[in-house]
Amino acid sequence: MPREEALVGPATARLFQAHAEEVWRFLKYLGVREHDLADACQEVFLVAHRKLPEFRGESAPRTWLYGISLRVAKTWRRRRQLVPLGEDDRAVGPQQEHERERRDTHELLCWALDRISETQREVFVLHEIEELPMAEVAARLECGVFTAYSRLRLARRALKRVLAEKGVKR
Amino acid sequence: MTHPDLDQLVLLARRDRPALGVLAAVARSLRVPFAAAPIAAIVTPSTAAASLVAKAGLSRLALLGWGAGSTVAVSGVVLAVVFSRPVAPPASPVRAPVLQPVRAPVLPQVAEPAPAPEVAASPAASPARPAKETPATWDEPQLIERARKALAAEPRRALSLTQEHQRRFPAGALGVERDVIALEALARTGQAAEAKRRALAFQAKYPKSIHLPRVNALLARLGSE
Repeated sequence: MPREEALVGPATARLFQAHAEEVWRFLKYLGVREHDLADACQEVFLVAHRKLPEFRGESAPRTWLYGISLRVAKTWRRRRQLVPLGEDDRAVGPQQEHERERRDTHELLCWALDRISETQREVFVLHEIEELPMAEVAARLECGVFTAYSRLRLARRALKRVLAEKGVKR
Repeated sequence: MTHPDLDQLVLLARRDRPALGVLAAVARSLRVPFAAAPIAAIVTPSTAAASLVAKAGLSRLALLGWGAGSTVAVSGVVLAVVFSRPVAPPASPVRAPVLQPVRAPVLPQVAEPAPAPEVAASPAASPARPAKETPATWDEPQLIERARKALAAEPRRALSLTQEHQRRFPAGALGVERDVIALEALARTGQAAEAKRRALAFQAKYPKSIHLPRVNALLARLGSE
C-alpha cells in the first residue's frame, strides 16, 4: 500500500494485523473507556514498536502484547479517574437505574469489572476472557500461581456479588 | 429482562469485537495496512452463542451481528473506502490525539421522538426532525454502528439513524447492513407489516447475503406472532 511512511516497523505492523482485535478487547475489559480504546490500542502498538528489539520470544507475541497492554490500560484508568464521571459513558447514577436495561451484556460485564479490585480484574480478564493459562497469567502479573488463583476466586466472588446486587441471577 | 449469569457474560465477552472501522482507523493513524480477520478465522456465530443471546432476550443482531459476520461481509468494502479517501480533517482539536478521526462524541442520553410510521415506510423522506445526535462528523461505519447499538433498547432511535444513513450515504458501502437494522427496528417498533414487506424484499434482492439467516429468522418470528 503506497502511503506515508509507517509509524511502526513491518514486524509491528504484522503484530497489529494478527493481534489488534485481541488487544482492543483486552484493553476494553481492563477498563479503558470505549471512546479511548482506539487511542489506547494505538499506544500499545507504538510501545510495542519501541520495545520490539528487547523482545526475545520468551513468551508468545500475543502474551507479550498483553504485558504492554496491562501497563497502558493502567495509565488510561488513572487518567479516567481524573476525569469527572459525567464524561463517562459507563457512569450510572441512581436516577439512571433503568440504564441497566439498556446496556448490552458486554457493557454489563465491564460495568461489574469496574467495581472489583484492579489486581483481581487483571487476573480475571487474562484467564477467563483471554483464556491464558494460569502460569502465564502469573508470569505476566509477576505474582505466584497460587496468588493468581486466589485472586481469580476472589474476582469471581466479587463479580457475582456485584451482579447480584444489580439483579442479575447468580 | 433477564441477564445472563457471569459465565455467560464471559462467553459473550470472549467474542466481543471492535465496531466496524475502529481498527482500520487505528491502522490508518499508525500508517500500517490492515484487513479484518479472514473469513476462516471468524466463522458464523456459534449456535452456543446464539442460544445464549436468545436466552438473555437480546437482539441477535446486536451481539452477534457485526462482531462476526458483517465484519467479514463488509470490511473489505469499508477498508477500501477508509483507505482510498483522504484522512478526514479533525472535527475539533480536543486534546489533539493522533487518532482524532475515530473519536465520536459521547452520546447525550435523550429520548428520540418516534418517527411517524409513514416516514419509516419511506426511508427516502428524512424525518421531520433530523437526529441532532448524529453530527456530520460521524462517518458511515460509525453511523451504522450507533444504529446497531441502539437496536436493542431504542429501536426508534435505531430506525431514525438508519434513515439518517439512507439520507447521507444513499450509495454507501453499508447499505445492506442498514437495511437489516432497519427491518429489525421496524419489527421492534410494532411495524410488523412493514418489517415483513421489507424482509421479503431483502430476501429477493440479496439471496446470497451473509445476513440472510437473520432476516429469515426475523420473518419466522414475525410469522409466528
